[in-house]
Amino acid sequence: MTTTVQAVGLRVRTGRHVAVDGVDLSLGAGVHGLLGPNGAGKTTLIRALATVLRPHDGRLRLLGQPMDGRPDLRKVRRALGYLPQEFGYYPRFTVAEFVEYMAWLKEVPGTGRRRAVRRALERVGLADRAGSRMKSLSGGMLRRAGIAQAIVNEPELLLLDEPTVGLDPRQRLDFRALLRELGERSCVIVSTHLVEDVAAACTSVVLADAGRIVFHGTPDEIAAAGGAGDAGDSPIERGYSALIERHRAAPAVTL
Amino acid sequence: MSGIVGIELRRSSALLAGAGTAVLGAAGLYVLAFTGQTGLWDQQWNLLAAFQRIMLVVLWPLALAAGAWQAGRDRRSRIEELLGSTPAPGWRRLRPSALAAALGLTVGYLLVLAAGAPRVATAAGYPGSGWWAVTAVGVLALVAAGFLGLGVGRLLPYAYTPAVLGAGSLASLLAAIEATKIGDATKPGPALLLPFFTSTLSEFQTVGGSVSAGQAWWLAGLVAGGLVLYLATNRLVRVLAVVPPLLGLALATPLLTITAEKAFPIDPAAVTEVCTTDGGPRVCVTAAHSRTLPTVVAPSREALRLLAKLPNAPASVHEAVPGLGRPQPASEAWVDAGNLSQTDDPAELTARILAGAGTPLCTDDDESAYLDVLRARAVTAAWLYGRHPAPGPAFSAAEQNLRDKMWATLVAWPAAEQERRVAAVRTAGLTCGDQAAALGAGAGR
Repeated sequence: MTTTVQAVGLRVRTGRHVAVDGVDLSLGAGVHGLLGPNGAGKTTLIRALATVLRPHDGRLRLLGQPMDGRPDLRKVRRALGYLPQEFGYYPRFTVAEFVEYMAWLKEVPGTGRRRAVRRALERVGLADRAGSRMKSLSGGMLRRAGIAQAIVNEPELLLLDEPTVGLDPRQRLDFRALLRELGERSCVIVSTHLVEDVAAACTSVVLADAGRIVFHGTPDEIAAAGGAGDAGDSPIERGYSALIERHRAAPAVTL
Repeated sequence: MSGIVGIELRRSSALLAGAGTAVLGAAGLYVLAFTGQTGLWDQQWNLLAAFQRIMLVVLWPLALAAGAWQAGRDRRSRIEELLGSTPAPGWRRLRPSALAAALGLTVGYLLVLAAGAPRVATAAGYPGSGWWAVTAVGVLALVAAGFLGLGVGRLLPYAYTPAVLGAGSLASLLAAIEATKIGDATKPGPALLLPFFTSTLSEFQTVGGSVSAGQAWWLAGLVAGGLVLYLATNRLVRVLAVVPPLLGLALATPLLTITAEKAFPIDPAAVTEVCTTDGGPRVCVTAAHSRTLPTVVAPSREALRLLAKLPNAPASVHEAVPGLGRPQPASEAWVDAGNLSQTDDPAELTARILAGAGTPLCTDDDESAYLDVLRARAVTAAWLYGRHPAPGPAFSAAEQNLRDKMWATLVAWPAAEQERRVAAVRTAGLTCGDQAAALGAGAGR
């Protein structure tokens, strides 16, 4: 399996705070859930992988490119899809115009750009709203438009920060199917609070707490870590609670 | 990139800026219809182009503010993080919005020209020369404002930047107009660096080629400077944005260091005479007013008939053009150019030609002398017309009373003396002499 993301001792600061503190991580194709409580450093890690934040220390390779020194960011970004936690958009643009604009910025060739836009909108179920202004969309539709712009360039590395916020149950089911499809060829990293999304769609789970990775394994392995006495309504929730509690009680593990 | 420029044209502030320019500009032209002053721009393409440049005093700050507003779009939309993860360099991403702003403002400015075009096409006899250069420089000025706004808006990405920039530039431009009034009017150099003209042109003037060329260099420098500031991705490039305006200024300065006469010279083609050829007494107007000739002929010939009672009476009527320096021959009656468009009443036009016994108004800046001369000319016209007051506008009771007394004094003299005095007014007028003194009928001289 080709390694898309490789981090060794990665430290990332947000202001004076070290939000990601010595992360070791190696991810290839597949859907990887990034789980953790608030303040765990999930968004900061995603932002560093999206090349928006520069690492403060450690080594990071994205798509085979080292990110230290003077990296060829343009090459990496061309193969990157990113949905930030706070998704900004131009409210006067139509959905199709916005996705086309983002495709142009991602240097999708002009000849196939319109086709790529159409396909991205179909994949997120927004083809019928292609002509609607962005400002007229509901919260769930906006999130789907955000996913459409993230996948319009068929990225090798797709970073989705809280992508299911605002989606109704049916849309979440469709989204999980889309994730599984995308994960067949790309490295998809999904940061979320929703443990059941991870259980349903992810091939691996990265559990973060206080800027560190405390667990990296399959959803079944997380579920197996929990017991009847741990907090949660499902095996994976109980496993999640157990792993966080164990980490807080003992030094972090490096995986 | 054309598809993206199309999106920016539709969705950015470019469309609004262009529409605002067109609507405000067209309103600026036609609001003058309420006061009957459309003659300031509808008599020639040159005048329309120059009047549009005057309106830049309002349109320029608006374009500046619109540019700054556009530059703040990414901040307002909170999209900077997403854009920061894309491979396109910042300058490449911003090019379509700059191009859209330029296109929007250009089309808006040209639409103002189009809005005035039907009226000019029907009212103007002589098209004027070089109006396209005046318009092109106007477009450049507006695009410069848009680009400077984009650049400053990106440099100072605050919510209040557009408002401060728009209001501040308007105040600065109005202050600059006041400053030009204090300066030496014969040397307009610094005023020519302003994006707009500070006064209207006459129908006989044109904008000198060196003025348009100099302004084009200076404004192109501002366009380039604004664009560099907008597209700059680091501090060094932002500092270098001052280079194009400085270069433009250096190239423009020699071209704009000229006298007012050379900056706005008389257009020889506009002052060429167009005359009747029907065998009757000759009536001539300038090419600039050639469309008025058919309506001027009859009142002019009536004036010649009435002037015939004087010795050495004139045999033709000609439109007088100020500033040409040509002496008036005794065989010609001259009428001030402004009188041709002042009235539609043939009798009043005849009376206006008879003012000063067929000579143009010629006074110094002394206001009391000016009023005396006007009264003497009006009384002369009345004497020649054979009726006091002669057809024309009404005056205040006090002013009419003064004129009545002068009239009474004149007609109290013997007929030969009356004729001698009126002839003296004409003689004085031929050499720009004191016509009030020549009449001497109570004007205090």
